[in-house]
Amino acid sequence: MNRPKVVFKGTRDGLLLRLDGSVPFGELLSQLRQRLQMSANFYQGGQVRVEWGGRQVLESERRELERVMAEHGLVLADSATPGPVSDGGAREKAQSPAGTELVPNGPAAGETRPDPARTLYVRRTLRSGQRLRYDGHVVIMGDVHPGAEVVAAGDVVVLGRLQGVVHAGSNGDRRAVVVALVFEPMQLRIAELISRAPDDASPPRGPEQAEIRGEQIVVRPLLD
Amino acid sequence: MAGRVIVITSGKGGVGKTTTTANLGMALAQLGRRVVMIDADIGLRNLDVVLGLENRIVYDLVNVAEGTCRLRQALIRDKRCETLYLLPAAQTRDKEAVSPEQMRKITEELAQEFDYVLVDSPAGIERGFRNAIAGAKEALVVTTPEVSAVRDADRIIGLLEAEELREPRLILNRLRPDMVRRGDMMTMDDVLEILAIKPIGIIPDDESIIVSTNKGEPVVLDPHSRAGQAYREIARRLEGEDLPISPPQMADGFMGRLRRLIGLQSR
Repeated sequence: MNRPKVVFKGTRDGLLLRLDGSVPFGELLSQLRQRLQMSANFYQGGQVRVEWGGRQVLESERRELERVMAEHGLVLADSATPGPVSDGGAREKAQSPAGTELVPNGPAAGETRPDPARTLYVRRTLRSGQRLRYDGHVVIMGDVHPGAEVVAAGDVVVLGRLQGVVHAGSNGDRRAVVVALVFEPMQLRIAELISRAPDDASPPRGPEQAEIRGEQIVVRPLLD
Repeated sequence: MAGRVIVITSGKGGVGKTTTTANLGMALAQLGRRVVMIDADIGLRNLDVVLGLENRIVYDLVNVAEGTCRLRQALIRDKRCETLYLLPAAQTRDKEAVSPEQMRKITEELAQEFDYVLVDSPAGIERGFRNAIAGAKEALVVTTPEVSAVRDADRIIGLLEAEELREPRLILNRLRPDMVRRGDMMTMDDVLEILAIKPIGIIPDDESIIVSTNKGEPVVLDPHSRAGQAYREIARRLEGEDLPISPPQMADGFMGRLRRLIGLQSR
């Protein structure tokens, strides 16, 4: 028999749901359903913490899980290791991804510029409707499609084509920059300033960087 | 006097709701009306793209509903027409982010200030559709001459009637006169016989729609486009003009254009 992908564990702080990070989310859900059905209403009314097993969790997936659990009378407590990628939910808090809680130097109170160690590396393409929010710097190894959104307290570096909306320095850091290999953002925000793409499409140039100079966002070639 | 709140809907996807909303909005604005279009397709917004206004979005419908911004702040003025505004949908949320009750409030507030509030409905009959029709007092049903689209339109008309949106009017989109003439396509009469509602216009299938949509320029801005002309006529009918609805003529061949040029054949 296969090793169970979905494990409930009783801990001192209540129930813990441990999910296998390498299994497709849909499969996890169906296993979870089975398990919950088998045990009838044994778990009824409990608060459950979730361990995602290192997976990057979409906000929609989180909600889905919440719904399935709710059907069996379970309440989802805050995840043990929440993922940073959401595809909805403007209100969810900026969350650190699995592992980065260990980083000791978060942004100190009153200081808006995040510590360089507080950086999220993402290796995937952000598609329309997906939103990545992080309380630090973000490096994306992939493209940011139109309709996708990246919000970061620090810098945003896109090693690919940037066509979506980026907000760097979202906590007010005016020193934040945005860099992309192909720089065609729909809209650019740094701290409280906003600039939008020109209406006439200009041909893409080489890698570029955007930063605040004076009271304006300016874009310049990364390599001179 | 409060403005008219009109929902543009279809049931089926891909029949031209968004294109119709963009073009009627532009056509009405060009008649001097104050018009606001609401994109109710949260999560799959398109109206901003079709209008070429995507890069101007800062706040959206969900922000307004949740009170993160004022209604005024979320309105985007069209770059070509001063009296045309867009209230864009959110892209990173879903239909549940807004309730019918919130939509009713928003449309009511907008109707105080605008002559027309056009609501672009998402496909389907679920929450998004419920949101779209919540504040509407009138409805335009878009369909194409295909059995599946007509069937869905019939379903939608039933739902509209159940919501007291009486007398929806029909827009038959993408009609191909050549196919109609060969007997290979339903005519307006065929469609009306099934749906039994009043028509308000026929839009001929027109390549210029694809070109203009990709450019973010509503086709009504193109004086030579036949589809653009058809949309302008619908706008005038909405304004109360009694224009006859005639089926579009054959796509002009060279001779047709020549005849029209020398005034032998009026359209």
